[in-house]
Amino acid sequence: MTDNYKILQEKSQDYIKKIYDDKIVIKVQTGTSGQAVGADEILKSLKNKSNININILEVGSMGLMYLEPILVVVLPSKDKIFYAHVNESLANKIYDHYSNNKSILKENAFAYESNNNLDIDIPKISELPQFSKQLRIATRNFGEITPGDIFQYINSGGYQAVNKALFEMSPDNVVDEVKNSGLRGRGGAAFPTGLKWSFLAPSKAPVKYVLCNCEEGDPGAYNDKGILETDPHTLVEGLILNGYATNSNKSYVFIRQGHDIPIKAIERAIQESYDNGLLGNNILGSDFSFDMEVSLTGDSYVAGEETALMEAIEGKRSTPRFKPPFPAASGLWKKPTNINNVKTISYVPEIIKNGSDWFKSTGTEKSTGTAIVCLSGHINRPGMYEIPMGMTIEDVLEDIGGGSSSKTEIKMLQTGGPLGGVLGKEGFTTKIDFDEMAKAGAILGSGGIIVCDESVSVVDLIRNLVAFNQFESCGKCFPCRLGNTHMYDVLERLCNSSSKPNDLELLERIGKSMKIGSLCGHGQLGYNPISSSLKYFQNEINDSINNKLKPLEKMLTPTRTRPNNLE
Amino acid sequence: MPEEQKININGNNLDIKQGQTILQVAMDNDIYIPYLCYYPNMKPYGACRACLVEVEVNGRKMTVASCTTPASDSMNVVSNNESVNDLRKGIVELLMSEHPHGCLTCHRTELCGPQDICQRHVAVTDRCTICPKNERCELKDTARFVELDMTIPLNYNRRDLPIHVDDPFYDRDYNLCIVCARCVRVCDEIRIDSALTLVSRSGVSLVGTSNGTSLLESGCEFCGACIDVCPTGALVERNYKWEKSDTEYSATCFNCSGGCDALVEVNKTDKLVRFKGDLSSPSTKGQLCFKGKFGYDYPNSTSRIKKSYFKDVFKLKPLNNKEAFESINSKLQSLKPEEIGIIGSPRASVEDNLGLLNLSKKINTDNVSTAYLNNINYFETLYRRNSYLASSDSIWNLEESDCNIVISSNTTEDNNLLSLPIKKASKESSKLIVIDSREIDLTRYASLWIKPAPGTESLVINTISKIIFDQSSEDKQNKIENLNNFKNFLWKFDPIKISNITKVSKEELFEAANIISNSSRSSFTFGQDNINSEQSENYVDSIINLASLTNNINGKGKGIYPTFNGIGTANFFQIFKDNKKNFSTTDDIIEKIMSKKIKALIFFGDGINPDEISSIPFESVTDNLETFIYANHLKNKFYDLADYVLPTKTYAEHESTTINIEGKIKKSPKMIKNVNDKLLSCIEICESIFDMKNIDIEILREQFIKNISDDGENIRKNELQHQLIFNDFTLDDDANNKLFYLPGRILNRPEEVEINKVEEMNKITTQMVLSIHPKDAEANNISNNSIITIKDENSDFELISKIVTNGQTEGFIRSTDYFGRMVTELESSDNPDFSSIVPRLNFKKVKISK
Repeated sequence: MTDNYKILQEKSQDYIKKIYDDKIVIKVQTGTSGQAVGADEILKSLKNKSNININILEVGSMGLMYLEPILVVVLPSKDKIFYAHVNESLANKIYDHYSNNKSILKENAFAYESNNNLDIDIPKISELPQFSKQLRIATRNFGEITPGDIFQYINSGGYQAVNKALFEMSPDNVVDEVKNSGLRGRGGAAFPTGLKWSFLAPSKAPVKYVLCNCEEGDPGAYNDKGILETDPHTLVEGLILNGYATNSNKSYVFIRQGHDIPIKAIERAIQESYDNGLLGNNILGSDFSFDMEVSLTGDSYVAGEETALMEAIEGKRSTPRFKPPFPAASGLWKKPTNINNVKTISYVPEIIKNGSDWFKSTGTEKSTGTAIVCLSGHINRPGMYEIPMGMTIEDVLEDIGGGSSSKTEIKMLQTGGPLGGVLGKEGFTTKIDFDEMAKAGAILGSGGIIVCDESVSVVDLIRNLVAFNQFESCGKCFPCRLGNTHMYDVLERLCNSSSKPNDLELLERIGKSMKIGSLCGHGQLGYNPISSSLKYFQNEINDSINNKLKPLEKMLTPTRTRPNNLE
Repeated sequence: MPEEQKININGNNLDIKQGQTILQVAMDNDIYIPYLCYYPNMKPYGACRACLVEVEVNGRKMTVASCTTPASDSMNVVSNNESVNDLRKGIVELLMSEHPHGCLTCHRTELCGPQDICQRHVAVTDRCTICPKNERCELKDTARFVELDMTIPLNYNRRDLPIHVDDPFYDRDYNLCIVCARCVRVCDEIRIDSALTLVSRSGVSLVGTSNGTSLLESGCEFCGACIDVCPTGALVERNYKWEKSDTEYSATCFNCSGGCDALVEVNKTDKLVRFKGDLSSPSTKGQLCFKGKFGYDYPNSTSRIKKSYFKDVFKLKPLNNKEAFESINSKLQSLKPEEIGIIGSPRASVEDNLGLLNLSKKINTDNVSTAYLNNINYFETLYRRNSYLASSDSIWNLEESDCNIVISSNTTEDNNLLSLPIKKASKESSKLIVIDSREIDLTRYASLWIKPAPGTESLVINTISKIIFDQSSEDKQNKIENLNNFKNFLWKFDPIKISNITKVSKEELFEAANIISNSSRSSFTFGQDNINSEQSENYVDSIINLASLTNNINGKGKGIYPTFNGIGTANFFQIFKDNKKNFSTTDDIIEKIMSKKIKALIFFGDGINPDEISSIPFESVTDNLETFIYANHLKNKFYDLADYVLPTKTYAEHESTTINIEGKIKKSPKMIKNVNDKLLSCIEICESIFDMKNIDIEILREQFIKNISDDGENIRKNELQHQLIFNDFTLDDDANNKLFYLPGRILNRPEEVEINKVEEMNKITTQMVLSIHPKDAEANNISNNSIITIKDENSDFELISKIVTNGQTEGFIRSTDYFGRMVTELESSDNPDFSSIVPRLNFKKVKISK
């Protein structure tokens, strides 16, 4: 261990001591999901209180979003009591209770964590399946530390990987380690990460970039922003490792404008890393220098496409470029560039710290490690969960998600974002694994899983997905710009029970033009929602083609179909 | 050398040139692959997907866009099998769902003649007759190629957008736009104006201007490049919008010394209806400017002079040409040779100038000049040092420069095409130094804008040379021939002293020197604006010396690029020089007229601005003449003053030879078939005035070309010598204690430009203001925002304007106008010959009165 790192560790131990020793710590989970239900107000209210024996700590969400606002009381014994659905008065009550009492307040407590069995009638957190069935690697610090606080991060093992890589490994070793771990891109395409890095690493260009994509526009996916707003240092550390492995010295974290909570968190993390010699010149006293910057964009879904993202960083319209040249040859400002998704990068510190074999021991042969899934829709426990690859969808829905939230059963899932697929019941036995999911007609993609019960019409679901894709097309290549509009037209007919006999063939024809003809993935995958639905819901779709269903309600999703001279 | 690479397209093994895409190889070998967004000379874009082909590499089959995929060895490409064709058809179907296509589906498409009235088989908004580019449309060609079915399966939706007809020169009908972005890209990549942009996205994305402004505000230079690249009828020239071409000619544009190649469309009734950029021309790469694109059609004018006239007392009376010549001849015979003056046209061709040579020889007068040849020394010096009058290399070589230095030349307006490589280079990493006290378009791109007091340009340049010399190593210095003399010459140019005289700060002089000496390749583009004849020898020498000192005379990205006023001026000089015939300047001739030494003037008025030919109003010049013989094609101010009027042919009415700015010899054809037999060419006039029957102009021309050229196509350019040539110099601090009025003109400054509708057209109505340095204001007792008058001592120039006291340089009064305003004035002018009415930006020494 280098002296520089040792100093940081000592600093962080002192820092932690001040917070925890002989104190009660109340952690308020104030992620985006928490703030949506008032967690920030709770935090403000608690911070106004002044018991010197109680410290209030702002932490990110632990992923159990259906229970938020969540408040965790850490007793001096290190026992933790988890409170759900806390409001301001309850929070004050909890605070006042622990100011005066040593007993445990049971109101709204849903679990506890302790080495002993406490004498209360709530379960241990490890007994909750939605917790115990998870395996947290990238999300290991969720709900535990203050987002962006470097000493809390270091205290939980942070930056050990950077220390190890810089002083014990060559850049090639790092690339090999990532290669060997079998880590694949979590952004959607599932490309082997180590292999991608090895394209950039040999380039002798004086300026090379490593980019991190947190555009994340998929409805139903919030895990990139989740990592950024909950544990941004794990991303900073991963990017430093990425830069070291590929001999690059500059990195941009690209986030959609307006997501203020993750933006603030990553900006704080970057600043604190600079302040403590973990970014900038000669990191930890080594020869390696690395800079990092946050780049924001206007809201455009396509800006998440890697080349469009580069255009956006350059200050241009975020429309995709053609390939080749590939980013590794000519990317941002025509310089060799590597780009990865937030989740992908977030695995890297743990892989370097614990070794690729450790990482590979989780998951399936071709899809190693874990998947971070976001459950939403008609499900009992919406939230963000990290599960080992290979778990079946059924298990995820039942054990983690707690099954349907309505009286009817789960009818279908929409996975991998609006360009992903629709999965019917017969597909629920599929394992969560890049290749298995693809075989089933869905993609794991960004990890968003939207659950629909029997009340949802599949045609309506596709109409919404296509409307989204239509709205978000960048308008550059003709098949995508025009194809989405016409697919949406046809689906609108289907939903209004005014379809024409050959509408299905028409969809297929447009879909083919888009799939083969489009410039980027947005158009190429645009037919996916329809093709995958046909696999599971042929009959229902046929019924709507034959106008046997009653007209559906008007869709609320906005569209941008034609440049007509209408207000 | 890399090994020869071969690609197989549709069974043909074809050579790959370095960096080519599949589409480019196919185009080189006449294999048609349809494309709509690709355009030669622009970067591939990959949007239309009409150029999809099937590619097999190493056993892997893919369908790719051929415009963006680099051709590589052992690729097997199929561009025309059923699956690719069907795919393309699917994409064209999508396009047609938004594009009126009655021209394809109407059952009468094959039956209707051009004059037939539409029989209304198609909705009125979709008829072939509503599209100005019917049968010139690339989309239609593509649709026919893919054999589009008569009915497309998709909903057709007309956009119903209003057509933009309120900006000068061209109509924009975005109902016909397919969003291929060619116009946006040509404006951005080649013109470096970015006046157009894509707006919005997804299905509603279209072409427009940022914030939806008019073109007058968006920085448009009205070059029409966007029209030339538009594959549909969305962008068209407003004039002759519906005219169809009968014959297309490869011709030369005569509107400036650039001498650009153009494709000229002439209709059945002998009207010139369109000028288009010529993609096959290596000199222009398909580009033109506002003068070429929209200022070509004066031969069509109804106010042409169609016959000879003679002024009888106060009225012009028609004569036949023969009578006119006899009458003129008898008048001239009665005069001494030196009492006759001749002024030629700046648009003169080689033949015209040979005519002037012979006429002046026959008359035996040295009082012969061409209109804008006032700086004889500018030409003399260039000729002495280069032995030719042209740029040292292709204009596109400027793109390779690390540093472009532009001096006293409003390139964007006067020699437009030169500004393209300069702007492009400056957009990349190259530096641009503008040495010009006026605010012009290029100053916007400049890394350093040096504003010397007019007339002190050569001091600035020599001082830059001195700084560079002083900073160079002794080793380098010792290699300079003539070192001691050069040192002696340079010691005068002390930066501090020069800074006081030129009003250029010492820091700027040093910065310029640093930029030039840190650039490995510099080019020098210069003109004669604001340079007078006494200064011009030192001026040209100083530039070539600097280029020579910094080793920037020959080679890639290096060289000197002189510009001239008028395409005929340089070859007039060369022809007279080669024939050892004395000639004069226009100013001298006018002076001799004023002192009654010249009594008769033969004046070829083509392309001359009556207000700029002399500082004296031309009425007072002609008052002093006994006989004023005016030869031109247009009636203007000169026409009213003439004693004799002779009708002339324009460039379109006879074959002519010219030399472009790069020194390429061009032949421009006769384009109008049936020429009025009363119209005369310059040579015919020259021959007839003194009845010289035996001139064989073709022999003379061939002789001249032989003199200047080895191959008959390019003038001979000797390798330029690295030489330092200088005259002794007396420093003149005359510039102090003077007020200079410096008019400028820029493409746009949106925050200032106000637009109003006048007769339904957009007009810039921003009030022009003068700006003056606070100290000068105080000295002249002027308060901010007051209305003042400035007057030139030597001419009748007078300007009344509001003045603000925010000027930055003492002694300078500035005003900056907008290009858009000038363009709207050109469009609404009665005179269709733009280059004779574009106001030049000449400085004036002025006095202020309130």
